[in-house]
Amino acid sequence: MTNIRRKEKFTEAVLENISALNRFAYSLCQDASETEDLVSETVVKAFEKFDSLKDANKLKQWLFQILRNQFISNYRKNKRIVGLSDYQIAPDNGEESFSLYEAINVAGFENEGNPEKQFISKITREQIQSAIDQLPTEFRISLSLCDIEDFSYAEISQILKVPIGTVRSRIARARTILQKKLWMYARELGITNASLKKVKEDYVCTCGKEEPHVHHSNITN
Amino acid sequence: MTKKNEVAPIDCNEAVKRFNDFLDNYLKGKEREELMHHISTCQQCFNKLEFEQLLKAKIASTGKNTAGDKKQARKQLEKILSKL
Repeated sequence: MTNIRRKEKFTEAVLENISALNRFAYSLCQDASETEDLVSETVVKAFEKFDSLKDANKLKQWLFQILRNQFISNYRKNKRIVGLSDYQIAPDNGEESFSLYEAINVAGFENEGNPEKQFISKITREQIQSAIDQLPTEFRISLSLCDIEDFSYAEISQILKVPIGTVRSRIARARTILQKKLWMYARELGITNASLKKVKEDYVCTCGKEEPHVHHSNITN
Repeated sequence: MTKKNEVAPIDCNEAVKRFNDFLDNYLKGKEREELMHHISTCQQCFNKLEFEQLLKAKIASTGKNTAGDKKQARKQLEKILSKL
């Protein structure tokens, strides 16, 4: 096969995954220039090894694994790369479970109707992206691979080279933190000062925590 | 004790614990059946799970909207491959 034909074949196979690679690279680097370099290095590596890909159905996972390996390799070569300072597993700070659904329903929006659905329609992509960007690195990456890239826990485990249990735990913790961040936006989206006061009163809890939170043992059938 | 083929009841606390696995299609078999049975009888958990699904879908659509279109992707890919 000529090099031109090989490039064409590779392009057709990989094209649909370039946006996803950009997203994954950005979630690792958090820098536009480094993202571009990382995707470029990944594509070059993938092109060189393309003939070794056994299962075409696993192309996206294979590309993500190459990108992740390249990122780690770059990091080892140059520890100044931005974004890896917190790549190690963040300590479990004992985040309490938090339900955005319950917080919204307790607070109540000004408008009548279904408050949680109003929240979903009112919250902007920018606000969601901002909340995701603020997550600790390993939580942001695991959640993005799951919710945005549609990888299974097993696939994420292979891409990140961590046990499935770790993937599950990171995703669960990411969602808890994300919902707490989104709650701040929910309050900006239509809850009155009066109802904010009500939220505080409703959330007086024996644990002493002031911000809205939920103890699942209190949920009754 | 539950009879054979009868789904064991779970409480709201247990149901909520299974939400993430359900949302990510990781919950299988008996555990999934028990959750399905619970939400079919508990409106609060049903509403809560529905909200979690909507939020997950909103996150997905947000993320997929952030990295350019196919035309840009082709240009980017061709630029990289032109160096090889």
